[in-house]
Amino acid sequence: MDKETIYTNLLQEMKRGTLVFSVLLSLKEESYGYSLVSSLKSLGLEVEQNTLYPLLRRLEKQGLLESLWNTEDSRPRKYYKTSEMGLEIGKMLSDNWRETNLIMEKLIGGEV
Amino acid sequence: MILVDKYIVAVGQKLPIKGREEIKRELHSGILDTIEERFGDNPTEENIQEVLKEFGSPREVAERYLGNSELIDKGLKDIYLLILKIVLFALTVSFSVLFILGLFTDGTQGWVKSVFMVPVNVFSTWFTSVGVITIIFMAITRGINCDELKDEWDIKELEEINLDNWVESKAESIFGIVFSLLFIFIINIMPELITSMENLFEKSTMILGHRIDIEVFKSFVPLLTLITLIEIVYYGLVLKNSYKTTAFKVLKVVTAILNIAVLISMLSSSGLFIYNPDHTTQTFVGFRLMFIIGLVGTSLELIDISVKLVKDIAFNKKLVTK
Repeated sequence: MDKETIYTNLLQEMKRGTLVFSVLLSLKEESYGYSLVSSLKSLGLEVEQNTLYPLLRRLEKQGLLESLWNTEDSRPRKYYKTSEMGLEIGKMLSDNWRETNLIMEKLIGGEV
Repeated sequence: MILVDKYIVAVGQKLPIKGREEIKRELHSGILDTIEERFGDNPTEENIQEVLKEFGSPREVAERYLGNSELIDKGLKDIYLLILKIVLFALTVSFSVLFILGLFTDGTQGWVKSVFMVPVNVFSTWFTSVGVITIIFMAITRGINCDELKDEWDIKELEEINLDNWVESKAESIFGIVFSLLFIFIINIMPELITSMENLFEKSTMILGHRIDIEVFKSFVPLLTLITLIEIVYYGLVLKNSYKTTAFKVLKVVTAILNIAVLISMLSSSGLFIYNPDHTTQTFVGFRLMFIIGLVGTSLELIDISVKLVKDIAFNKKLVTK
């Protein structure tokens, strides 16, 4: 396996790990699938739609998201919003992220 | 946007019944949003194809909802459990009918033991059936995985799906499976029921023109069982997918042709019918008449499906040239 492939694979793993966290934070404001993909993309986070839709459904089943069908738009759209439990878990993950970030900064600093 | 509808149907085929409609609805909305955002209100066929290709093959999309595959594919679990329930129901009915018939033919002597034997027979036969059905579904699951590995998705595969008749009656399929299982059960386990029915018929005022030679009939049983098993697969597929694709219709045509061939072979068999010596001329009254009615019915069904199949093919050709 060449260097580029190894890097791509590791990057994908890292991004996959942060995707759920990103979704929980992004959906503090309710949004529908395509709109969420666009807003994450505008922040620099590319997500494939066929990855996002099943993820949203899984998080909803776990009780981390709530959903509602909006039939007032030009076509029916399923809107998602982070649930109370999702917000609590999002907060815990945020605290952990900051701690991990400090550790990583130290490691990166030491490396340089 | 027919192509999007077909794509959604193709994804739905591979999803479990539970939650299927919700997933299809959301996916449909998401795909239309993407097309509209990227190509405006009047996208070309190529634009739509581009977006669908990005979403990936219907199997790939469904797999993401289903997670990792198991011993029996998650998409098959609903139909697997449904068939197990139907078999249990059919066995209960069959053994109950046998018990009641036993009361008429053997009298009420030992009926307590017979009552006890009904659930024992039902469950012992059912457990054997569970084993066989599980092995078949495991094989299908393996087949699906092999299929997944070997070929890449081509958007032209969507042409196979006809949106004209997608909602089919579930009752028709369930009835078809129950009836087919009962038929297999009777011809394999208790073909003598044919003679019992003939005896019952003769108790009426009418006289049979002939009787069936059970030993000769048994030589047709393997073929009849095979054709009925193909029909069960057909009904199972229709039940799982909620609509008939062109491929399913071809399968139905094949079983109809096989049925007609067997019925003609039975009707022309010299040893199958033992004619009543009391009659000076051979009459059709008896199972021969039922076979003739069956032959006419199956032939009409074959014509009906063939016409629908030709229409399907013409529809798909029109879609391709569009």
